Order: sequence, then structure tokens, then C-alpha cells
Amino acid sequence: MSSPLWRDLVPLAFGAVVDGVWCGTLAAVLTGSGDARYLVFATVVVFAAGVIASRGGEEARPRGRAARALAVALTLAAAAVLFVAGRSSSGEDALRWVVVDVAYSALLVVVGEGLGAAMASPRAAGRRAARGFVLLCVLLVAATLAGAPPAWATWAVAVTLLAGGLFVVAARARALAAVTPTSEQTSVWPWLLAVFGVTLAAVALGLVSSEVLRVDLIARALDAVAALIGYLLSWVGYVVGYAGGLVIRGAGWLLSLLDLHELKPVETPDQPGLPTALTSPEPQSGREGSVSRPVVIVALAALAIVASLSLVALALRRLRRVAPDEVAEEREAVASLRAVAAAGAGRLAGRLRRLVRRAPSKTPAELVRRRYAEFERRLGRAGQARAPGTTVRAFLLTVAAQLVAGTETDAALTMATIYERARYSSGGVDVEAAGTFARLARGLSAAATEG
Amino acid sequence: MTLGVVVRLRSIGWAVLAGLVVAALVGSEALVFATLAAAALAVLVVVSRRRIFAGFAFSRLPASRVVPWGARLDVTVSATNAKLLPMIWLRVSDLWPAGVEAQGFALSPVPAHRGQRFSQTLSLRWYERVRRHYRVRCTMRGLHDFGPAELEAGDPFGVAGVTRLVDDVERVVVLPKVLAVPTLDVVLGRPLFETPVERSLAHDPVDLRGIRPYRPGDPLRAVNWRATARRRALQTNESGPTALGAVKLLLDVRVRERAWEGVDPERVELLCVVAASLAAAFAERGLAVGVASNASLAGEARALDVEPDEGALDEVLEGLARVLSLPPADFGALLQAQLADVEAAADCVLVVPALRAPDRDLVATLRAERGASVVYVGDPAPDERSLVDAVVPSDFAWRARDELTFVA
Repeated sequence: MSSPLWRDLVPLAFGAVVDGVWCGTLAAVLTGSGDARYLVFATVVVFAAGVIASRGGEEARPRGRAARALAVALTLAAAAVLFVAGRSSSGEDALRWVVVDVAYSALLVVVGEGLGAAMASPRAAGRRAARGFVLLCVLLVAATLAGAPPAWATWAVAVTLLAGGLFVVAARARALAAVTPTSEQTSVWPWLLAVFGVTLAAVALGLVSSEVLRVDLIARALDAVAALIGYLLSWVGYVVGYAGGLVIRGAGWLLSLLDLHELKPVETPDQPGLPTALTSPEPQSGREGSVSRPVVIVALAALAIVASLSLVALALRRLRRVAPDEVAEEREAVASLRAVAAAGAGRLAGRLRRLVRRAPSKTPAELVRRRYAEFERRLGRAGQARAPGTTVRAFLLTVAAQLVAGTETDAALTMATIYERARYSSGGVDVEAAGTFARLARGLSAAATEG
Repeated sequence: MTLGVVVRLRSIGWAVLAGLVVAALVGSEALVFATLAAAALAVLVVVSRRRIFAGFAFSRLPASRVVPWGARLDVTVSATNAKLLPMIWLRVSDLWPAGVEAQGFALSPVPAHRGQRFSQTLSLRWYERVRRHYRVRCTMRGLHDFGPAELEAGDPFGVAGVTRLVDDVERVVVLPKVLAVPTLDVVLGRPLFETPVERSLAHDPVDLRGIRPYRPGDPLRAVNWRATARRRALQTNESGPTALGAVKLLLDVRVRERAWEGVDPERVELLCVVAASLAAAFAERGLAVGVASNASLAGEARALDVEPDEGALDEVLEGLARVLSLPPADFGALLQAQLADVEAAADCVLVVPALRAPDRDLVATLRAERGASVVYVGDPAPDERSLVDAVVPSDFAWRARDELTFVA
């Protein structure tokens, strides 16, 4: 990260992609053309503006006259390219198009000039990337509402996520390089590669999820929720109407007792029927390729996830610093993957065992033994494990003796007696003794672990 | 999982729900994809930030706790990531003492903490430990702390870092520089065993070390007649002493007359170098060495007072290493305590930057009663010269020299 290329241009490039995508989308939406070349154009102009603005570094600010002139020249050049490439100059709206092109180019240049400040800190870069993503989403919503969503919308989102992630990484690496001597820095390329892989995995995951959660499915779910709410409201109305009818009938009966006049009979409201959204849908014939398309997409996404995770693993393997001769470096694995898997399986099995053991026991003696096992495990976690060769009685007395109050010795003796009867006596213990043991064990373990 | 993480995950969940509703309302497939992909990244960021320091350990371990002046010290910096989540980036900012010179790497000074900043970036894979061995040269006497360290890590993107402070401090004692003292005889007192007969300590006839030419004053019973006959010259048996001679260094670090005049760290360094060199030279001669001083000690509330003992040199040097340049206590009290100790058998060697008027009588008494020698570090005034046995000039370039020489 010490070279000027790394320090300035690479973060600028990633930031330019983030801003270029939403700016290009803006142009595509405004013109209604849906041309993907706007994205490339916007990215190039934003990058160029960023390079012009960052010339001379931060110490060169405020900008000089030359930089301002370059920015104006870039704006005019970009507007000219737009005008020549996009419209005919002989049209009657030429002046209007010139104004629009210049305004759009000026927007790109202004956006590009702000990139330098954004890459100064990872937080600012993160905000910039998030802003680009949100603006892109807003533009896509607007385009969809206008009825002309660009065909490359999904790709634009993916590119924005990738470039945004890499932009933040480059800014973070830049910030780290500023406070770390060159000899103690790690290489940035593998880091970028790892983040590229992680983001790719997230994109693939999003692709798979969006294939499962399709728009029509979500719309149908929303429809069902709305119908359910409407159905519940109908029932509320029915109950209220029914109750109102009863009140009016009662009033009529009272009036009839007084022989005043007769009320018109009240009709009972109809019960609300189940909305159609909640009824089982009729089987619809699938679209052409609707079965194969999700399968292919899911398979490709799974492949992409595996490939991206492999990319992360490869990148982390290469994430090494070239240590100077005077500094020796050793790397070692603290656990093999097999041991990690075995430990994970062991933990899972232990939890399952404990889950199973929580089922009520059949005999009080068994309950006492399990309560004692829990007690010992809890104390073991608190650093008071029973040493091998120590009897339960001695262990309980030792635990009680370490407490300040000193009143726990009797409890420990009682516990030891009940446990020994439950463990070794054929007569066992009764339910009351088991309850006493559980109560004493709770109190002693709480006192021991809190102390 | 803490409440904060749960709240953040819940916020992400609500955001996803809102995004999906909007996407369904406008019928945008791209928005569904954007919502879900962004949610996956957001969950990754939140969870990795929460778990980034779980199962992580950092340490920096010096190879030795006591280091001679100018020696090289190996420091091992170790970081362990004992979890599945890799730490793609980790910034270490450790505070190292000012008195070490980096060998082959860089340290940046931090004047506010009177230390140096050791910065590095690391990356750790799952279940990986990285150790780096750095070498520094210790060029400043004293008690030096390595640490505390500030660590920063975070999600793979580095959107926002999580900072952790490692309070563990590794303490290293750098001993004062020890110079050879070729002219030690200048400060040797009368009771030392190399002067035989009257002033010699009792000898142990069983501990026969060899023979040497007869010197006037040797007792006749010590003469080895067989060797004399063989060599045709009187030879005397040389035996070891039944008890070691002992020297106690009395170090005064009050360079300035009054406390408000400040301190002179460079002179204090020279005083410590002189005292350490003398102690090592005495020990090399087989004498038991001790030290007492009016100096304040780093890391300890007590005064420096090491009783002379055969193996006390290490303790003496370590005590001298802890001497601070702060305004010290009254040296006269120390002298009075020595005079009051009637059972003290050790000879005294005073290492002083000045002989103030109130202390001169005590010094004279000590010289008379206990055979004390005075090594003056600085330029003695004419009225001080009569009490001084050896002088080390204040501009003595001890860093560049290997031998301590006295000015007559």
C-alpha cells in the first residue's frame, strides 16, 4: 500500500465504480434507453474527476486554478461525448440536450471530486458505498414504477456490492498503512481477493434466496396477509353487528312492553366468508422452463458460493507479510480441522445429552445422582473441579469450607449423606430427601460460584 | 449473543422485510436480490464484529527479565486466533519503552508516554497462531515496561473496527553499564585480604590454595619449607580466608543542592555506572558486595539497601537499575545509620556527586572508624579534596568507554 498506485488510484477506481453505477443508472432511467454503456461512461468520468481532484494529495487543497480548469475541461469533454454519441446535433432540441448533457457531466465531475474525501477513512468509505447502494435501489424502484426497469439491474446491484466492499477494504488498508511501518504491513491483494470471495458468496446467496423468494411468491404472501387481516376485521364487524342487533332487539322488546310502537325486526348479519387469497390456489401450469431455471440458478449459485469460499481460503493462505531478515515469523495451526470438527461434535453431543437428561427421572436416587452431576459440572466451570481421588464427601466439605459464612458445612454433610445413600445403598432415598438434596445443591453451588 | 447484536440483527430483519415488501409492491426482482444480498453482507458484518475477539489471545514476551546494558533482547509477539472466523486484518499498537533500539524494524516515538509505538498489521486464519521474533538493544538503564497494547480488528471489509486494550505489561530490568576498573587499588581500603599480616582477615589453613614468594610480614608458620628448599627462596603457603571481606557501597544521588533545582539524570546515570562497576570489580576480587542509597526506586516504595553477601552482586545491580532520578532523601541520614551500626563489618565505599558541609564530618568519621573510601563523581571543590580518594569527572564518556578510570 506504499506505492502511489495503491495509495490513491485503486481506492479511487473502486469508489468510481460504486458512484458510476448509480450515476449511469440515473442516466439510463432518465433517458429511458436502458443502455448499459452509461454505467461505463459514468464510471470513467467519475474516476477521471477523482484523479484530477486528488492530484497533489491532501496537502494540495484547496484546489488550484489548474485543477479547476481540468475539472471544467473534463465536464465539457464528457458533455461533448454524450452529445455526439447520444443525439443528433441537427435536432430542434439540441440546445436543451446540450444543457442536460453539461448538467449531467457536471454531476459526474462533482461526484468524482468527493471521492478523495470518502476514501480518507473506512467509515466515510462505508457511508459512500451504502449511499451508492441505496441510490441505486431507489433508481431501480423508480424505473420499475415507470415501467422500464433496466435489464441489467441485477448485475448493477451485484457490481455495486462488490465494488463497495472492495472500496471499503482499500480505504481500511490505506488507513492501516498510514499508521504502520512498511516492514510491518501485510499485502493488500490477498485481502482484496478474500473480500471479493466473501462478497461473491453473499451475492450468490442473495441470488439463491431471490430465486426461492420470488416476487410473485412475496406478493402472494402479502396478499394472503392482507386477506387474513381483512377476514379478521370482517369477523370483528360481524360480532359488533350481531351485538348491536341484540341491543336493538332488546330495546324493541322493552318498547313493546310499554306498548309504544313496534320496531322493524333486525336482520342478523351474514358470516364473512374465507377470502380467496386464503383458499388453496388452483394448480397453475408452470412457465416454460420454470422448473429447470431455478435448478440451474441454484446449482450455479451453490457453485459460486463454493468457488468464492475457496477463493477466500486461498487468499488467506497467501495473506502473508514478507518479513525482513531481522524479524523471524512462525505460523502454526493451533488445531487441525479434524480436531475442530471432533470438538464441535463433542459439544453438540454434550448438549444433546444434557437435553435428554433433563427429562424427569424415574427414581429419587437417580434424581439425586443427576443433581449431583449438575452440581459438580457447575463448580467445575467455576474452576472448582473435583480432583481425581477425592471422595464426594471430602469434595463437598472442601467446597463448604472455602465459603466465608461457614454455615454451609451442615448442608455439605447432609448432601454427602443423601448422595452416598442414593449412590451406594440398596434402600435408596425417598422423594423428600431428593428434594432436600436438590435444594441444598442449588444453594451451595450458588454460594460457591458467586463467592 | 448480546442484546446489541440481537437488536442489530433484528434491525436487519426489519429492513429486509421492508425491502421485500417494497420489491413485491413494485414487482422488482432486482430489488429482492439487492435486499437479500445486502442483508447477507450486513449479517456477516454484525456477527463478525461481535465475534472477532472471541478465542483470541495476544502476548509479547521478552526472552529475559534482566538484561545487561547494551545487550540484545529478543521479544516474541504472539497472536492466536482459536476460532473458525478468520481475522483478516488486525492492527496491533503496542507501547514499548524508550530505552530500546529496534534492530531491523521500526518503532515510532511517543513522547507523551515516554515510550515508543510498535505498530504492525496481522492477518490470522482460522485456528492459527503467528509468532514474530523481534530483537531490540537495551540502551537505557532502568525498569522498562512493554505494554499495554491496543488491538483493533473487525469485519472483513473493515467498515468499523473493534478496539480491545490488552493491559498486560511485561517488565524488564536493564542493568547499569558495568565497566572494568583497572585501577581498583585506588579505592581499596586497608582491611582487604590482599594486604597480609595485620589487616588480613583470618586465614583458613585447611583451605590451601598454593604457594607464593615470601613477603615481609608473613608468619613463619606459613612458610612452606619444602618448597623453599626446592626453589631456593622463601615460599609461603597461601590459604583462603575463613571469612570473606565485605564492601558496602554508599551511593548518594543528590546531584543538586536543593530539590527545587531539579535533577541531573545524566549525572545520576554516571553515578550508577560507577557504583555498578565498583560492585562488579569488588565481587570479582572475591569480596561480598552490598549497596545502600538515598535514591528512590522504580516500582518499589522501599529505599535501596542490600546487605553485603557473597552472591549479592545481582541484587546490587538490579537495585542500581531501579534507581530513579527523582530528588532523593537526605544522604546524611544514611551515613548516620552506617555509623550507628556497630555490628557492621563491611568496609564502606562512598560514591557521591558532592560532599556537602553537613555531611563532611560524618564522612570523615566513617573514614576514620570504618576505613571508608570516597569516589567523587564530578569535579570536587578544594575543600572537598581532602576527603576524596578517587575522582570520576562529570564528563566521563561512559557510553563509549569500556574501562572506568579515575583522576588522581
